[in-house]
Amino acid sequence: PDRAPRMEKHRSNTELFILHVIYDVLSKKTIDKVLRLIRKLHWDDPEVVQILHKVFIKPWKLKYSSIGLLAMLTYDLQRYHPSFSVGVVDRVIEDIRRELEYNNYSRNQRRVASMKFLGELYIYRLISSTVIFDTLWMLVTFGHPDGRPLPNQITPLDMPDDFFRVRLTCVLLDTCAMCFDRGSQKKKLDSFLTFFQLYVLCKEPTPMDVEFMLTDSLEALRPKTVFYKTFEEAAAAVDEMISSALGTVEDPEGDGGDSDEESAV
Amino acid sequence: RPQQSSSHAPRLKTVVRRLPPNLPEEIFWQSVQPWVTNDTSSWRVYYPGKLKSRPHKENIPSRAYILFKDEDHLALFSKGFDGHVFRDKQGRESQAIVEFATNQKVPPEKGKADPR
Repeated sequence: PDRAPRMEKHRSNTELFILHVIYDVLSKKTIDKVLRLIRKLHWDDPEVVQILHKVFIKPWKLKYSSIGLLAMLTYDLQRYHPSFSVGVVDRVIEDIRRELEYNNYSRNQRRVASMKFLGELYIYRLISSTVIFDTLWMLVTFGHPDGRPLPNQITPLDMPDDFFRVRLTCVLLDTCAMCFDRGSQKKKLDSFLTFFQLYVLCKEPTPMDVEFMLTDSLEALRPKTVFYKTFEEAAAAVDEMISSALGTVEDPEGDGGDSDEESAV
Repeated sequence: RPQQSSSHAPRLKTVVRRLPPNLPEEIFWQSVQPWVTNDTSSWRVYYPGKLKSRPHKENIPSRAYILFKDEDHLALFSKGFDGHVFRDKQGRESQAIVEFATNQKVPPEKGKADPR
């Protein structure tokens, strides 16, 4: 072939060591040891910090079940290297947003991993519940005119037969929504779940795998949920939700009602 | 629950997205100098993006985060800089956007040294 042979990436010993520790050594049993090893690295060398940053923002390179451990490490490192942890969190949030703007299906697997990581970061208190709710609402409104999905409305970034955002939403709900079980957070989650059903009903009839995923996620959170059968039913529920929220808040909400905390306990 | 105050406190951490992937950090800070100084902001960080060599790969834009000292300075910055167009030598354009950062956390000024 006329193509030159592929050049192998050159990695320094430090980089190889970091990759080995995170990809091969990290497990529930070894996490304390891994943390100690990472803490011992030369954090005053920007190159080392850069390598670590790169590894931490790519949760899809780990086993799916280890993503929580990566979040735990991010949490533990926050104590000594707060800029590092904030940087990781900001990048993960940015990636989720950027991938929504591109919606390139070849990166779906990565996007699932990033979403899982975001949920785990909440579990370890690296982000506030506001970040989770903002992300949830973004998933069901982004790219839709006025933030209102409608049946048969063609949105290039989120076509009626594209169920990927449903999957992302379920991943985030499954990872951390069980924490929103009381007070204002519970109410916020209820509002979101109502809107989420409307979102799904705007799509084409759900394939069976999506249907199962959806039922599993929702039933785990709200066992007594009665699912809306039609778009009209869900739309009526959303309208009622919005008007009752408007009745109690002075300023009308902008993009979806995640800002109301007025009747909080 | 500790997080609840965050939704009421004024949001002061700002993100500037979609900066050119190859924009050097110094040039960026120069371009925002009219709004971003030590007097108006207390914390800043810049993440350079990546210009992909292979054509079918998407570039990663650069990003910056700025913590303003008050909402007025943030508003002035957003008004003055949101939509700013950068043009590089090849004529590629990037239009910057200014938004509230989703994650409002910033690192404390003094970190603890790690005793390791």
